[in-house]
Amino acid sequence: MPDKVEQNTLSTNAPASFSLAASALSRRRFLAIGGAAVGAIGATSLLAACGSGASAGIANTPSDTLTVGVFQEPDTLDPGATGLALSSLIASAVFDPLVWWLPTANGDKQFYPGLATSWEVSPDATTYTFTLRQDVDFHDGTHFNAEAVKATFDHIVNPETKSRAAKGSLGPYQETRVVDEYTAQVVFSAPNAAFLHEMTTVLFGMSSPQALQKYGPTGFGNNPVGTGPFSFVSYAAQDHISLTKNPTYKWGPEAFGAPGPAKLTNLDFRILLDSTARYNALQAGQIQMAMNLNPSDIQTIRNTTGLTHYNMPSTGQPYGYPLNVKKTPTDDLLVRQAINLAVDQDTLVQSVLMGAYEPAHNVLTPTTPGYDKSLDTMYAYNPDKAKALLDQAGWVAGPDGTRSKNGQPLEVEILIQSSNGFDLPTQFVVSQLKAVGIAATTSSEPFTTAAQSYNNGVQNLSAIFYYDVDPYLLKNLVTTEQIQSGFNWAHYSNPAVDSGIAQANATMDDATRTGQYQQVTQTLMEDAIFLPLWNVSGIFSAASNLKGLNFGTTGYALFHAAELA
Amino acid sequence: MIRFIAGRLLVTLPVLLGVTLVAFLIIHLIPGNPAQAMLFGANPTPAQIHDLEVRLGLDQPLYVQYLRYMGGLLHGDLGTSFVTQRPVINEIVDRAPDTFVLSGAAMLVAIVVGIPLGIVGGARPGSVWDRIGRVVSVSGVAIPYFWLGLVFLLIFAVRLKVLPAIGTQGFSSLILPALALGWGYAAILTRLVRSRLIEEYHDDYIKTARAKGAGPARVLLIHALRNAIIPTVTMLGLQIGNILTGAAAIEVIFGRPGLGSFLVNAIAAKNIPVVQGAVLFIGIVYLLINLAVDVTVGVIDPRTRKRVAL
Repeated sequence: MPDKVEQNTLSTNAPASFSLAASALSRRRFLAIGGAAVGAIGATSLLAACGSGASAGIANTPSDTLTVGVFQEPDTLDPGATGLALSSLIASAVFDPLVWWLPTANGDKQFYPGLATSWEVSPDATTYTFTLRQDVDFHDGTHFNAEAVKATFDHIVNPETKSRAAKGSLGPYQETRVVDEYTAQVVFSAPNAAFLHEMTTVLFGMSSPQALQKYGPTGFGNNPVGTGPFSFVSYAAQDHISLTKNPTYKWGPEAFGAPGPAKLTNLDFRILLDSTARYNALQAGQIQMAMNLNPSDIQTIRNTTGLTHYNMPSTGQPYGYPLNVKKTPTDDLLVRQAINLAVDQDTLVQSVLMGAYEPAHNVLTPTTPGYDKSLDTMYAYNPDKAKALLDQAGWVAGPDGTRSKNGQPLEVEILIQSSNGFDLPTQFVVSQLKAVGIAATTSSEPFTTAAQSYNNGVQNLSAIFYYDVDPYLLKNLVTTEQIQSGFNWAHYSNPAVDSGIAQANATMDDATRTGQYQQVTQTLMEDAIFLPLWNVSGIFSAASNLKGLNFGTTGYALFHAAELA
Repeated sequence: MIRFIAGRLLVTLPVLLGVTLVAFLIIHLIPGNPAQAMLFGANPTPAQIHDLEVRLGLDQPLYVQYLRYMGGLLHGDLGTSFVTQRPVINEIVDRAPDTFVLSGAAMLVAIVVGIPLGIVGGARPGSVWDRIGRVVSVSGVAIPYFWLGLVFLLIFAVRLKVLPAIGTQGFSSLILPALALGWGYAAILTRLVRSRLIEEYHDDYIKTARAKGAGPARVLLIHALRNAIIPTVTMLGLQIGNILTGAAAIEVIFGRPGLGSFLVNAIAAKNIPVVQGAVLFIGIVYLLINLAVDVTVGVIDPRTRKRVAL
């Protein structure tokens, strides 16, 4: 596979490669090279200056190679093992799910056949039966059948795989039965209605049994083999992942247009941890798509001709702060409600996030099943009401506006994760809390450290966001069993909520189930255990000649029909 | 000379021991449990977390962990990365070349820009070249390298599009990061060479040389510069540590995979074996380069050999 096309006019003039060995050249020779390089810079910069004039736009050129700047190092390329949404983005190009569940133009979602042509769920939500396509091959040439379905799910639950997301999403998995060559049955030991949505995520992308065998449960992550529109070529740690077109691909979902191979020949992911580096590379034309840029850069991109910004809604829990119900003063419901009333998410998004996101007012994002719009107004911005609630709770405002009770000042500790976009918004929240008389101290820790602090409950406000496709995600965020070592950073324990979520997951009827989840979210909102800020979404900026992009339920880009025209 | 080098190597050993100990203690002082971090999101039971701790040896007392680590080290084993499960030594070897190329290129920028400007400034104080040199040195000391890197990117990569914004492919991708990283050190060199040269010019032996009829070029190159350059070489060795640190930030800004960004990520993820391995590796490189500097100074100035020999 050819190297990525560098948009670099200098490379033809300057020496192709440079290493420390150059210092072994004679001084004269080296100065000559240096002179040539400096001359080349001068000449090309003049040419470039003449050519581009005063235009602030960028010129897009057609290409069969798309390079995407991503913000993280993948932990593994095995969708069954990964714990990172980013790995899912890459895996979506290499793997296919059995069934697709995709957003439609009217904001709804629809199921499409994938590697399974049809599927059936038992009324008790314990047995899922899939009828498979018969014309599908893996990238390594082996044939896709029911044995592959079994191998994929067995691989996920294998302790050696150390699955971080898929195993949890799989729930009470018991076994996969191979009914016949093209019929597979996934069986659960308890009802699992969430699997209807979960099965459509790439976490359950079908993996080649031969490759799983050959590379082993952890080695597969460096040698992923699926059935997707692109096959894996190479992975250079901290640098890039290269994929190339799968020429035999014809089993994409109907929603992506006529079946057939991808239009791009090469799909590369460049790992650029620094968001400014991604922005610069996009502006310089070295990458044609960048993920998760800074809000201020996004604003520039919206005003730049030749660049397009995508903010694609996702299912999941919004960015926000779980409020610790076990630590004073947030153990008082009135204080938690006052915090919710004191923060104006609309102004936060407009002034701090430059309108790059959508404000959130709920524990679930609007596209998540179980979302109840009527709850959005429960804590509509109302600082006066917040003050009244604090008065009612016995927190009296002093001369400088800060409240106290029995000599104790009203103070909350906010602990955020560093480098996850919370820094500036948190300053805004602190100022809004101060306006109603709540003092706040802020500290920041890397995710690893912060997660343990959250589980220990040292903070009043933690910081979280969560991408998932089914409201069953609430089990990970608010149930009692998740306090010690999971994501229940509000330390919230409510038997009614615990059983309500379990009950909803045992209900196959869509309407009933949605109603049950709405009941749960209403309780969570009434208990004010979460301060929502802005909705999770897929944030991509790309060259405007990038056409044919599709987006999944979590707002992440799918490259099946993408092309740089 | 061999006795001199052997003596210096012996002194190096306890220093390296100290480096491993400090790196070990600091990473353990940071709160957070690596085992819990590795299992995060998989909703582990406390028993599962404990199992992993046992497997990683994290359940042992600190001194046992340190002795185990040192035991492995004596066999050339730096341990295995918690995150990738690959041997730490392989991870380091993969990334070190890029960092060395960048640091070397930055050093080259510092020498090629800094020493000539220092010489002309010191030989002709107040001349046009001296004033240019002073602009370079003031700007270089005052402007942080990461900011300079961003400005270079904005001008040459984003606006003019003549140099790549990211990557490590080809000489062109090295120009901006090396200039950004090397500029500050060029400034330090300019100031140092200039002031030393001016001092030397006031020394008696220069008057003697002039009295004996040596021309300005001979006075500068044979007499004054040779003495002025000694502290400069020592200083270059000491700056290696700073350049390696600076490379971490420059690597992130310019999207270059390297040792610096690798170490920073490992610290954030509490990837203990990687942090220890990388710190030890950088420590060894630092000490070896300073040894080379001492040898070089010994060659230029035989007086120092007697002083340092044990």
